[in-house]
Amino acid sequence: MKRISITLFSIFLVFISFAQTGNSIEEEIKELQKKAKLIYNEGVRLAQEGKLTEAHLKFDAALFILPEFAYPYVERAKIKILNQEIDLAKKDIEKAIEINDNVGEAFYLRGYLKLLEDDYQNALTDFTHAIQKEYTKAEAYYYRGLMNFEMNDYNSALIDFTMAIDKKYDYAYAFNDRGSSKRMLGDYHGAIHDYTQALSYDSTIIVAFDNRASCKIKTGDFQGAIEDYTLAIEKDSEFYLALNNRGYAYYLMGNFESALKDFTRAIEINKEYAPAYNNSGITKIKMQNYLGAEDDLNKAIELDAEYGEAYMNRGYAKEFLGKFPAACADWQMAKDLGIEEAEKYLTECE
Amino acid sequence: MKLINTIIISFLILFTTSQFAISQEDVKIKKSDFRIEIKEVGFKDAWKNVKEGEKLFSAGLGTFPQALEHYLKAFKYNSDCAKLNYKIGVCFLATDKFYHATEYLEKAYLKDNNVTDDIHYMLARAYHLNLDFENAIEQYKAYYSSFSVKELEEFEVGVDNYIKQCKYGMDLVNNPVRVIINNLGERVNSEYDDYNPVLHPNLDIMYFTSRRETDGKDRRFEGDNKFYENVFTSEQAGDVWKKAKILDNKLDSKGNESVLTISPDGNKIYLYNGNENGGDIMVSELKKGSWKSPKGISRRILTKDKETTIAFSPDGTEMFFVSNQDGTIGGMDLFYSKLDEKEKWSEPINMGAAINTIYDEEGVYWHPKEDKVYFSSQGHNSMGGFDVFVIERDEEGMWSNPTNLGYPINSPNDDIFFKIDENGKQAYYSSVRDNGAGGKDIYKIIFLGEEKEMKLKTEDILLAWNYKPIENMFYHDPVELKVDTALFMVGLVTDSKTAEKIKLAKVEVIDLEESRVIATGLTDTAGYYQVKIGKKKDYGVEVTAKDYLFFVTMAQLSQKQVVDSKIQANFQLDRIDVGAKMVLKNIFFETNKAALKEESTAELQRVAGLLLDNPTIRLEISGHTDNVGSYRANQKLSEARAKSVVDYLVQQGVAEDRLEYKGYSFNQPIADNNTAEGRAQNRRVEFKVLSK
Repeated sequence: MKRISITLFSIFLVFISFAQTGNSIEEEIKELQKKAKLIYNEGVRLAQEGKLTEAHLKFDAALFILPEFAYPYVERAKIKILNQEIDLAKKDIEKAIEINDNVGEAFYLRGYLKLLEDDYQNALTDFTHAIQKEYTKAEAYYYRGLMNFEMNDYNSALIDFTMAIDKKYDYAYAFNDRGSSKRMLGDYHGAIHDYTQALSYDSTIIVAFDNRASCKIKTGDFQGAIEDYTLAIEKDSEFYLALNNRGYAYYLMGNFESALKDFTRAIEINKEYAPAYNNSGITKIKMQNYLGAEDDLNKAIELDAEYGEAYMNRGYAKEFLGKFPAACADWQMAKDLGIEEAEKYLTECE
Repeated sequence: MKLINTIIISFLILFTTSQFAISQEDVKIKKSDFRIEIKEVGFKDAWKNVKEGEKLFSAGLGTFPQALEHYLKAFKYNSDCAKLNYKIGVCFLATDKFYHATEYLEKAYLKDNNVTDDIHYMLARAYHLNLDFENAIEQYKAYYSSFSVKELEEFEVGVDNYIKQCKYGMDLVNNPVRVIINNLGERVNSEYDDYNPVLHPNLDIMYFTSRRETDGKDRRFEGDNKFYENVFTSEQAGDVWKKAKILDNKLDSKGNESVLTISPDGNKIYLYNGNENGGDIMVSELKKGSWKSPKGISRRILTKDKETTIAFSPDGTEMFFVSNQDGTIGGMDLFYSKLDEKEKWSEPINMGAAINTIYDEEGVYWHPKEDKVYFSSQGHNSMGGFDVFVIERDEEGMWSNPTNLGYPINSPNDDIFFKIDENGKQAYYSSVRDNGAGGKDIYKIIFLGEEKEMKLKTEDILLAWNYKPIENMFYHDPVELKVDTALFMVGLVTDSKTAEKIKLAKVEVIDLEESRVIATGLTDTAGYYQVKIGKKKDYGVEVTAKDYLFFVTMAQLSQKQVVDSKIQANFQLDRIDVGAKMVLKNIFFETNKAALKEESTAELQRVAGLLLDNPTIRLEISGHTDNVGSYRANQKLSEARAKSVVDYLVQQGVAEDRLEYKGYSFNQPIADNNTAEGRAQNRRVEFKVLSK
């Protein structure tokens, strides 16, 4: 009995000893956490002052003290992204999420890197996580809007861009892109309004001129469209898409000479741009230069062997040249490439 | 109305009638009409050109182009001469540049309303050929009304059909067919008339008829002053036809000959020979690579009258031919024959009034695979000259009424010798169109299918991001994290003797570096206090409580362990009892003097506070020294220092009678006087509670 009592007393002492030791480690950890946070905050202040290299060192130091500290990884990743050290940034972001999956900005950054890799689905998921974890900055909504747009979910994109604008009233990019969402949903007047807003906040968004012009075409305002395309071209004389589009507007107005001039200029700027060859070819058909048209359409197809419309159009050029078997071969090719109208014209080949 | 100078001229007498079927007036330009009195310079040459032009004009249509050249030179001298303008207009009307005719004829009329008797007719023709049907009708009517009743009885003016043609023309032009019509170019066509294309079954050789000059010795046909017909051939090389050359001279009849058709095997060629029997159809066979002399076809077909074009059914058992032989409804008509059981051609049958008209039909052609026969007619709903028509045979063997192939295949000019390919996609024929090589030319018709929507492509950069991504847009400035840096000093304040917990004891923490109180706390009922301190370092601490002597100490927190942000520091206070003593550690004097140093103030204030807070107590202030020096000197110094303290306290409002002072020299040491540290401790001021 006495022996038992002594043993129990010994165990009690050991327990007390362990308890005291546990408290000590916990306190040490808390102290380390506090120290790490303080160093982290120093890094934050440096980053706010734009001293990113010094900030990076502080984040390194914080992580040296406390390797399981998510925030320095996040901030370090941001600096690495700015320094184009993408792989290293990814590692930091993954580590941050591994340590603490409630850090919304880590998901936001991971989404951003996936966006850069065109991995839209996963980027969308990450931006959604970021927003759910209360990382609700305008850019988080904007980027998610981009992803929704790229994945053809224009309604969701519209909502996201609206949220981004709600967070940042002068968010010119979000206005432009919301305009494009409206356009894809058939609201051309709404789109024109948004493009105008975008330009009022940032007149260097040249695509907004181009996009507004294309919507004006949809509303039948060809002259207004040409004016907008011209503004875009004046601001960027190498903007071959706007030249191609203005050519299209001229074409619709029956001004084939001006149209051809624009298509030709677009080709001069970008010799690899197949649609300009296609459009030039069509315009030449209208101008009864069928051989010239055939040459242009040959070039369009040479540049893009999967260009179904160009095969269709080359078929027309060949028809005008009396090259019926060749025309039929082109329409067959167009059909094979998914151009449904080709089937109708192939009946003429029977 | 004078018609004395009017001559009747036929173009292409072998096949077609002229567009000037009615007349054109060879009005002579007089010198007095042409000469400008005040402008002698250039007259001589101009007049010479007028005379040359007149000569060529009178010679006939074949030399109208040359006449035109002279007239135009003369025109530079006098552009207001009505007759010259008329002649130029008429010459243009006879060429493929007929669109210039209107301008000159209008001017001729403007300068002289009576320039010629037929000015209205020529204007009508000019408008008609240029598709200005309304003005044409007006001018035809004006021409008609220029005749007297007697003249109308005497002559057949014949503008009714032209007016009908204009009306048909309006309808046809308003409903164009989708075709492309291409001139075969100067390798095939010449400045003269070129017509009746016949393709070899392999489609790589074309035979055609031309009235071009061949070797400089060519004769002109008196009727129209054009060269005689010859058969030419051109070979196709890729997309182009090679330069045409004259066919085997064995086919040359020294007169007019024209190729008509070729057998499906390519070994028989059918020709028109204008010298034979009023114009007959001949056939030549290809043997050992050369064409044999042409022979007349079946006697049942050929008559003393004119047989021109011929077409065989795809199986060769039926034929159509064109003739003005007995039974014609008017001029040249379509006749039909078929092989009988004895492989002989049956008696020809006129195709009847549904197909033939009182005007000419010509250029018959049977589709290579189908029961469709094409021919040209000046009747039916022609819009002018010969138009191309098609008839189809139904399953019961009945031929349909002719259908006009439509504009722009047909025009107000002659459109004839139409040959379509077996797929119905392209055809060749002869026509007079703007900007040809000259005269009639051979054209290729490309039949376009249904009008197709051409697909232009535009692209926009819909997303601003895709045009110009803002690289740093993702970046947001970091935000500091909240860090709980608070450190607490905690502990118990107890009675030094009884260990009783003292409540409401005041604990003040003094930052020694800054010499200020940084935190103050009170003990709770359990004697526990907690005060927030900035850092883990040494602080001064003063503890006061009612009925207790104050306690001042240096809390060496830097040496202590922090547990859960707390550093433990317990304090014991001495109760104010009679006889209780306290060493006033922080009272400092000038060396060997009784004058208080300024840094003693805080401690003296505490003593004053004790006395003021406990107004009944009386204290003895005592001075003590070490044992260095004489007793007397030390006694004197210790007493003086005690008195200095009392004086200070009195100055602070403490009643003098509550204080006593006494110097004890070195009689009451509290430490070893043999050490410096001990002596330092012995040099002190104390107080003792005398009563309370």
